[in-house]
Amino acid sequence: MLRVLRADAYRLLHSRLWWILVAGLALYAFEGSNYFASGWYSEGVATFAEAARRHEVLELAMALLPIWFAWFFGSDLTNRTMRNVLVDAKGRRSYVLAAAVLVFGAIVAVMVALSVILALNLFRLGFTFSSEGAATFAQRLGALAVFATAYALVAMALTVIASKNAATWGIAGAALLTSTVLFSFARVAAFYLPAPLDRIADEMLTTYSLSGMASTLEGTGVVQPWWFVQAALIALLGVLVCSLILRRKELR
Amino acid sequence: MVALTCENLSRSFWGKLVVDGVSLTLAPGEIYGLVGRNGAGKSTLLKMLAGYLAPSSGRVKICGEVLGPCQTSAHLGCLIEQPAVNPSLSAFQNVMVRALAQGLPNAKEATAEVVRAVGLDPALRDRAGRFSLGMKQRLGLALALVGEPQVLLLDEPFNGLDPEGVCLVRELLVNLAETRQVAVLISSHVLDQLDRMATRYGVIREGRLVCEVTTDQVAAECTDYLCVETPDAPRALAVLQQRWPAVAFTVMPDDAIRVGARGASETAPAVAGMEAPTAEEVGRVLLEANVSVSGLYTHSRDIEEYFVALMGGTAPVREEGKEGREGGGGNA
Repeated sequence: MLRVLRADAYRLLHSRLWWILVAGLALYAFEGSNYFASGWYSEGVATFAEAARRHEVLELAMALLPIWFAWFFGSDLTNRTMRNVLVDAKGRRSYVLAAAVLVFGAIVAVMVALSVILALNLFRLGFTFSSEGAATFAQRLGALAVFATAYALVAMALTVIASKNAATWGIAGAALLTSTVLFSFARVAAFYLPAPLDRIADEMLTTYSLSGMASTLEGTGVVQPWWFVQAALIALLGVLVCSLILRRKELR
Repeated sequence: MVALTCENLSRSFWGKLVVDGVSLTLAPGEIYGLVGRNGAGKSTLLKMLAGYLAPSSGRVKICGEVLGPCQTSAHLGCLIEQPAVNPSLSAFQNVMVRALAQGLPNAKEATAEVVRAVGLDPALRDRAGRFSLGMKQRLGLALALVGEPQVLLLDEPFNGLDPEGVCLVRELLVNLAETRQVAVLISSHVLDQLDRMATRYGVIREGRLVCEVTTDQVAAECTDYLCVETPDAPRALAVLQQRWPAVAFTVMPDDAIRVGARGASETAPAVAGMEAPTAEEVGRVLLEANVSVSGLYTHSRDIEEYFVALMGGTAPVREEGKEGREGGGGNA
């Protein structure tokens, strides 16, 4: 698995599009913090966790990175390049596990880098924060990274399920998930269910779905510890689906 | 040790058998040419051997390692259907990804070596997305060769290559087979290239491996022979057999007489220790016996003609409603 991870990391780090995406997010973190400092957004902000919540660069990363990874792994099927990293009898399983580790690692790395850019620029602009909110911020970053990983792995499962145009399916799936279009649609659909099913379905969606949790986090800034477990389970489900389907999938 | 073995490998799609009980064995250093018509099941067979497709039944063994369905081996290098090229990476980076996945200790050196071997070094740093078909094919070969595999599975490796590239790849494969004892299985329609490198052939027809022949057998089958066209074939045949009793004469379906060569299905030499008569001698004998001759010529049977006959002639590739297995003769 480590060999495949190394190979995947190599091609990620040699992808121009990846660096363009990261540079775009970094620019947003930098320019956005200038805007943040000059406007009413920064009024009453005492902790870095609150500043980061209002700035929303991590939320943007959470929305875009799964789409990127859906394309990254989907194009492995479209271009047949998955064949190049399957090198032994356990190749397919190693591929999925390496993908999960790479996705999580890369998302955490990018989110940490964006946070550093944001913090340094706010410091440059004269903001100082107490260390009180550090733990809250770390939890928040962790939750967003786990949500993004779960989104990416669910989208990757879609690419594996698709018989053709895997990358397109992955991108579309990830976009629908992270943009909360599917979530909103499901909530509207739940509204038409007979009582009390409508209320139960809506509560289930807002409490247990990734989008519901992300939306609550965005609104309140408070992280529930069980969210990590919930998102990790969804990510694990994505890994399992990928592994099960890839086990017998024809590599065209 | 045997490099590659497959036993009773079958695959059906939607109830239709595409590969039907194929068994074959490749020894180290052997170059095996797999020939067959479009849709005969060659690529499907190669995909199953490579672990890209699960067989419906049967077993694959590579260098002694039994592979499960959709499992590949560290000893395998493959180029099947189209090269697996990442268009956003350079040629070097594409091969480097595979070298890293293989865990090669000197991944950079190994990558540079195979890229040079396939003649892609001038385009080493160019993005593969801008490559021509031939360059992508070379890159696909480099991907198959990196890591010094013991078995190579190549599907149309000459596709899109320029004459220089064809020559380079052919020499490279022959060299690998001779010096490193790499077993090479090539599926190709370019029979004259196969003819220059293969040590054995397998003919696949409607999913079945209908025969296996050595290059010596092919060479013997493709020798020139004398052909006599006459309106009175039975009499001409009698005259010729009387004059040259030790020489084989075969009346062909079009009533032409084939002189001094084996029949289509024969495998033993027709003329043991005796030279076949020349065209002049045959003509003179027939004229002396007052047998009119309408044609007397040397027939050249090339490898293409030979394999076309083995592959099932020139009939339509897929006849409507024909599920037939009647053409197959089982594994030779």
